Amino acid sequence: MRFQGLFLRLLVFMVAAFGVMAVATSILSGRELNDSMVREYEGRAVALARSIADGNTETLLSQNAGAIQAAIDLHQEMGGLSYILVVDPHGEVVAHTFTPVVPEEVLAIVRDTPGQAHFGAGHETSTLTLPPDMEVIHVAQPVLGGKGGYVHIGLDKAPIRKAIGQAIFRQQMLTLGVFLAFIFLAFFFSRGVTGPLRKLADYAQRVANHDFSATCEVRSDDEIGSLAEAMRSMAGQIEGHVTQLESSVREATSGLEDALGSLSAIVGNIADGLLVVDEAGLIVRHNPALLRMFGLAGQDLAGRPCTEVFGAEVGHAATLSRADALRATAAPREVLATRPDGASFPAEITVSGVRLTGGAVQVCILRDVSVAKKAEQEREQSRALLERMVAERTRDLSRTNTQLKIEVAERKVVGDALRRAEAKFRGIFENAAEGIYQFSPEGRYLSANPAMAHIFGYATPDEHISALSDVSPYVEESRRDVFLATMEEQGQVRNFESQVRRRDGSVIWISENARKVVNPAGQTLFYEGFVSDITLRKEAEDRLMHQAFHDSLTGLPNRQLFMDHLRMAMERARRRPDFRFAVLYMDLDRFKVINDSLGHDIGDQLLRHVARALLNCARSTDTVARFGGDEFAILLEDITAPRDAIHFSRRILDDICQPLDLDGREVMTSGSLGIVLRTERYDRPEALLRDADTAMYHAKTMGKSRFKVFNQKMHTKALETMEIEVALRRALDPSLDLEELVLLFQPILNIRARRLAGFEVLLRWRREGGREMLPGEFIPLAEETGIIYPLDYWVFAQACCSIRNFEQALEARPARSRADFATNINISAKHFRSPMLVGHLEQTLRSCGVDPRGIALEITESVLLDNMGGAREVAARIRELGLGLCIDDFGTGYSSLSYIRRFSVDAIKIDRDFVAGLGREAGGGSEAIVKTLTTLGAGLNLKVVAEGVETVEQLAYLSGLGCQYAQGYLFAPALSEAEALELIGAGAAEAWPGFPELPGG
Amino acid sequence: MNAGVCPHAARSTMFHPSSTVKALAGTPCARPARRGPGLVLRLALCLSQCLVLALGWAAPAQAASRELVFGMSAAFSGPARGLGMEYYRGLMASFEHTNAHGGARGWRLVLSVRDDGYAPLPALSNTIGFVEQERVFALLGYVGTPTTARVLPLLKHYESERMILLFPFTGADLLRERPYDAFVFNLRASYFDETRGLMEALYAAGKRRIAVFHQGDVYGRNGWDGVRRALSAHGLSIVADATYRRGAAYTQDFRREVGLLQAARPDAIITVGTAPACAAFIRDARDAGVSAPIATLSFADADNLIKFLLAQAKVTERDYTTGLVFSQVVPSFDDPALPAARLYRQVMDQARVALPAQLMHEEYIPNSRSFVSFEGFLAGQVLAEAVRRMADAPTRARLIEMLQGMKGLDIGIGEKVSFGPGHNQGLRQTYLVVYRGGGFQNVKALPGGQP
Repeated sequence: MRFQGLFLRLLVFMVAAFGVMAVATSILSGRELNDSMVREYEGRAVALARSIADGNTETLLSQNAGAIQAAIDLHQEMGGLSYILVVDPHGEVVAHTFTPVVPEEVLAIVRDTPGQAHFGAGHETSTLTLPPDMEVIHVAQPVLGGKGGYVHIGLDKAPIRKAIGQAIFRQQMLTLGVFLAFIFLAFFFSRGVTGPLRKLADYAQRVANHDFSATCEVRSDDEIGSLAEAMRSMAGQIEGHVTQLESSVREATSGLEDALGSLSAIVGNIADGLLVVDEAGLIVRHNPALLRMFGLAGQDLAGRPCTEVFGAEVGHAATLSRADALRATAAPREVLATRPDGASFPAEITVSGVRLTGGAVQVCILRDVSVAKKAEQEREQSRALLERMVAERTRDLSRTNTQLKIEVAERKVVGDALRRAEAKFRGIFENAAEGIYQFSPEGRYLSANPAMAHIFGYATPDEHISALSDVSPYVEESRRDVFLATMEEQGQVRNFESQVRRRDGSVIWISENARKVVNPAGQTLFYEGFVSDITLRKEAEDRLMHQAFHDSLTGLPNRQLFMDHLRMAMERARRRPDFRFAVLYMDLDRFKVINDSLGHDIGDQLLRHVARALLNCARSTDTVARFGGDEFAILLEDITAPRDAIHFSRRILDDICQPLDLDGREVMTSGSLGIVLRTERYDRPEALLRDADTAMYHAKTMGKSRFKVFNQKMHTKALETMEIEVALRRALDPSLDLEELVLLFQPILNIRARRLAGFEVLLRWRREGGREMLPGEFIPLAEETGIIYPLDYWVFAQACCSIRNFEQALEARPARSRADFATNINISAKHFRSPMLVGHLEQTLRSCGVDPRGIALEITESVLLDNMGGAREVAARIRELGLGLCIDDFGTGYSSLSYIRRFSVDAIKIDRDFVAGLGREAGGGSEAIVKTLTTLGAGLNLKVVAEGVETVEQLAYLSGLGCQYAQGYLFAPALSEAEALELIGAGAAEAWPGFPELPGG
Repeated sequence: MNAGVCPHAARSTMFHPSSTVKALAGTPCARPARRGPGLVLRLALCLSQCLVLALGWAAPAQAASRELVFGMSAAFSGPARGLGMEYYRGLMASFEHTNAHGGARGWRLVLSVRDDGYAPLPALSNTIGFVEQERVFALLGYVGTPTTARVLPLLKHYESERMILLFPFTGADLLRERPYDAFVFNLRASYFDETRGLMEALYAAGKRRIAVFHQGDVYGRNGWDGVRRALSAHGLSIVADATYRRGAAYTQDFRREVGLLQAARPDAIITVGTAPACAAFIRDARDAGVSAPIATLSFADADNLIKFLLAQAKVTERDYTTGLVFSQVVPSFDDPALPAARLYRQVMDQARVALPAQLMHEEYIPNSRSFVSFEGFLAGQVLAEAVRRMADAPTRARLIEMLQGMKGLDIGIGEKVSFGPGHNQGLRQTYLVVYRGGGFQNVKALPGGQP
C-alpha cells in the first residue's frame, strides 16, 4: 500500500506525539512507583527489624550466639531477608547470616552506628550496593535503644526493580495499543480526501494527453464533486474539436500518399535504369536498377554531374538532346556507358524531357545490353564444342563393343565348366546315404538332400524344408538349444545324438556332425552338417544295457541292478528320515526237485511264472530282481508301515502256492521269504541282503511257504554261528595245534558171534572252556560253510591212522578176530557232489597203508536223493576203491529199496528210535519196522546194524529177529583210541567180555 | 515374633515407600507399621491384613505389649548421612545386644527411623509423624543441631504428653539451656565443652591467633561462640572467621574461604562443620599451603572425614592427615582398658546391623567401628539401663524420673553418667585425637611452640 503525502505527514506527527507521551509517562510513573515501593519496602524492613529486635530481646540479651543464630535463621527464612546481622552493645558481631564473611560495606555501617542510646524510632535506613550487583535496603535497628546491641537487616531491592519494570512495560503496551488504533483511524480519514483528488489529477493528465476514453468516477456532493463535474464537460468539448480537425487532414494526405506510393513502386521495380537529370546536367533522381547496372548499389548520387558518374556518352545523351526531348519522346539509342571503375558496357538509352515547376528535367531510361550480346557469342561456341564431342564418343563406343564380344565368348567357356562341377557335386549331395543340410542360425533349413528328407520321412527335400523350418523335430525341446550353444561355443558339433520325430510320428535316433560356416567378417552365415540314422545302433546298445542288468530268463533286474537300487534307497533314507523301505529275499522250496524231475524247461517256465507273480504283486516303484537260480529279491520302497511289507509277503506266498499248469502238468511250488524291515541301521547293502537271506533261511527251516522278519535273535544267532565257524576253522588249522577235535570209537558187536565186529568213528569237539560239542551241533554249520570238506578229510585221515593201529593190534590176535572186522566212518552228503572226494580218499588210504576192506563209509539217504546221478557215480567209485558203503538211519527218510541196489550198498543201520521203541507198547510199530529191515537185510545180503541198544530186552529182541550187529551203551560207550586198542588187546574181537545173557537165549 | 508376621513386614516394606522404617533389633524381620502414609494404601494394607489375620493377629498384639518403640529422625541422605548411618548402627547394635539377652527386663527395644537429610523442616514433620502417627515411646538419637533446634519448640508443644528427646547427636548449647532443657536428655558433652577443651590444648601449645571456619547456622554459630568464649577467657578474640552454607558436599570449592582466613595469618584453625565440608576445607587449606593445625569437633565425624582425605591423598599424593586435631566426646573404642569399648567391639563384630534399605537412597559403606557408632552404642546402653529400672510399668513420666535419678552410672568408659533436675547432660569429658599411623590416637597435649 502506498501512503499518500498527506497521510505520511500525519503519521510522522503522531509518532512524535506518542513517543514524547510514552517517555513522559514512563519516567513519571516509574519514579512514583519506585518511591512508593521503596517507602513500602523500607517500612517493611523497619517493621521486620523491629520485630526481630523486640521479639527476641531476651535471646539477644543473653549473648548466646547459638540461640541468636537460631532466631535469625528462622527470621531470614520467613521474612525473605537478604541478611540479618546482630551486633552486641560493644559493636562486636555476634551472629550473622552471611557466607562466608560479612561484606565490607555492611561492616562499615556496623562500625558507624552510634554507640549511644537511641529512643523513639531509632532505626536508620540506608541503601547499599553489595557486590557483585545487589542493591539492598539496610536497616539498623537498636535493641533496647542500643543497650542490647543492634540488629541489622538487609532487604533486597531486586523485587522493586522487577515490579517497576513490569509496571512500565504494561503502561507502554497500553500506549502502543492506543497509538495503533489512532493510526488505523487516520488511515481511513486520509483515504476519504486524498483518494478522489488523486483520481481527478490522473483524469486531467489523461485529457491533456488526448485520452478521452477515461471517465472520472468521482461523484460526491462536496467541492470535489462539482470540480469533477466541470472537468468532465470541459473534456467533452475539447474532444469534439480535436476529432473534427484530425478527420479533414487525414482525407487530404491519403490522396497524395496513394499517388506517391504507386509511382515509387513503379520506379523502384522497373528493370531498366531510371535517371532524372536537371538542366545543369546534375543528377536529380535515379532508381536502384540504375545503380545495380553501374555497380553503385546503395549510393545516393543525387546532385552529382551525370557525366562524371556515368561516363561522357551517357551524360551527353542525357543533356544534349534536351531540346528534342522537350518536344517528343526520342527513340532509343545505343551508347557506351562507363562504370566508375573504368569498365564500359553497351547500353540503350531513351531520353524524354519533363517540365516541372522548378525548371525542366530530362528523364532517361537506360538498359544494359551487354548480357544479351555476350549470350549470343556463347551460343555459337557451344554448338562447335558439341559437334566435336559427339564424334569422339562414337569412336569409343565401337571399341567397347568389340571387347564385349570377346568377353561373352570367354564367359560361355567358364560357365560350361562350372555347370559340369555343379552337376558332379549335386550328384553327391543328392545321392549321399547320409542326410546333408544347411541350416540358418534362425532355425530355417536352407537346403537338404533327399537322404535327409528320407530320414525324416518326407518324400522330397522341399517338403522336408517347408515342414521342418519352423518346427523342431527334436523330441526333447532343449536339444536344439544345446545344439546351437555347442555350435556357438566350439564352431562345430560332433556325434550329436538325439531323438527326433519323423513325419509319421515315429521316433528315431540320429547323430549329427555339423560345422559353422562364416563369412570373411566372421558372421555366421549358416550351419552345414550330416545326419545319420543311428536308431538301430541305439536299440542294440539299449538291448545290451538291458541284458547287462537284467536276467535274461525272466527279464527282471539282476543282482547288480538290484544292489544299485538298494544303495539308492539307503541313500534316500539317510536324507529323508520319513522314507522307509523293506528288503525281501525269496527262495522257492523244492525248486531243485522240480527242475531235476520235470526238466529245465518246466523249471524255467516256473521261474517265469514266479517272476510274473512277483511283478503282479509289486508296485511300480518296487524292484523285483532275480539273483539266479530260484532266488529272488524284492525292494519295497517308500512303505508307510512294516505291515505293508507283511501284506506283500502274504500275497506273494499265496500267489505262488497256486497250482500251475505247465505243459499239461500240474506243478505246485511254494516260497520262503526273509524280510528286513529295520533297514535304517545298515551301512552296506550287502549286509542288508545277507540278513534278509538269513531271515529267509530261518523261514525255510521253520517249514515251507513261510516268511520270517529278520530280528535281533537271528542276528545274535548269526553271530553265534559265525563265532562257531571261526572256532571250527581254528580247530582245524594244523598250525595252531589245538587238538580240540577228537575221534572216539564206539564198538559194533556181532550179536550172533558175541564178539567185537568193528567200530563206528565218532567226532567230538572239545572247545575252549571245556564244552564238548556233538557233531549234530556243528556239522550242519560245517556243511553250510564248506568247512565240512577239510573236516571230513581230517576225520578220514585220523581214522585211517587209528584203523592202522587196530589192524596191527588184530594181527596179534587169532585170525578169526579179523574176520569181517570193519570200522565205519561218517561222510557228509556234501562230498557226493564234490569230484575231489574219491581222489582224496584214495590218496589217504595209500599214504596210511590201511586195507580199504576194513573201512566202510556211512552216509545218509538224503545224499542219494538230492543228487541222484552224481551220487551214483561217486558211490560206484568208492566201491571200486574197496571201501564199504553203509546207509545210516535207514528208514527215516525216503527209504527206497532201489537205492540199495543202485548204489551197491553193503550195510544198513537201523535208527536208534526204532530200537528204542522195541519192547514198548507205545513203540509205534517199531518192531514191525525192525523186523522188516532185518528180513530185508538178510534177503539182500546186507549187514544190518542196530543202533542205540541200551537194554538186554532190546538185544534179546534184535537177536530174536536175527539182527546180526548192534551197537550201544549196553555194550560200551564211545571209547578213545587207547581204550579201543585195549579192548582189542583183551580179546574182545574173539569174545566180548561180559556179553549179557539173553533171556531164552 | 513368630513367622506369621513376616509376610506383613515384607508387604509393608513394599507398600511404604516413605522414609519410615522400623528396625527390630535382633530379629530378621521388622514389625509392621501401624500407620500407612495414605488412606488408599492403608485400605490396601487392611485388606491384605485380613488375609493373614488368622496367622498373624495375636502375635504382634502380644509382642507390642512387650516392646518399646523409639523414633529416630536423622540424616540418612545428603552429605551428612555418614553421621546418621553410624549413630544408627551404634544404637541398633546396642539394642540388638540388649534384645538378644532377653531385652531390658523383658522389654524389647525397637527403633523407628525416618530420614530428614539434615534439614530442619523434614525433621519437624518426621517428629510430628513419630508422635501423632506412630505414637513412639520417646524420641531418640536425633542427629544435628539445626534439625534438633527446630524440633525443640515442638517438644514444648507436646509437653502435656511428656514427650522427650533422648541423647541427640549434637552438642548445641540450645539443648542444654532453658527453656528446652526439660525436654531433652543429652549424653554427650556440649560444643562449649569441646571448644573449651580444644582451645585450652591449642593455647597450651602456644597458639594465639585462632581462626574459625564454621557452618552458617545454629551449629556453626554455637561452635564459633564456644571458641569466642574460650578465647575471651584469655583476653583474645577470633582473628578471622568464615562461614559456609549447610549441606556442602566434599566437591565444594573452599579456596576463597581459605584465602580469607589465611589473610589473618592464623596459628590454628578450628572448623565447626560436617565431615564433607571440613574435609573439603582441609583439602583446600593444605593445597593452599596452610600448615597451621586444623581442629574439628566431634560432629565432624572423624572416621568419615579421614576417609575423604585418604581418598584425596591417593589422587594428589599428598598427606592431608598430619596437623589435624579431632575433638571427641567419647574415648577411643580401641582402648582395651575400657569395658565398654571391649563390649562395643565384641557386639559390633557380631552384630549384622543392616542399614534400612528404604533409606539407602545413596551409597554408603559403613565403618566397621567408629566414634559415632560407639557413642550410639553407649546411648543405647544408657537407655536400656533406664528401661530396666522402670520395667514394671514403663511410662514417659517414669522414664524422665528414672533418668533424672540416674547418678554415677558406670557404663564402662571411666567417666560416670549422671543426670539430675536441671542437669540434662550425662557426660562432660572431651578427648583429643589425632590420626597417626593409620589409626586414631588419644593425645593429652598438642605439640607446639612457645606461648
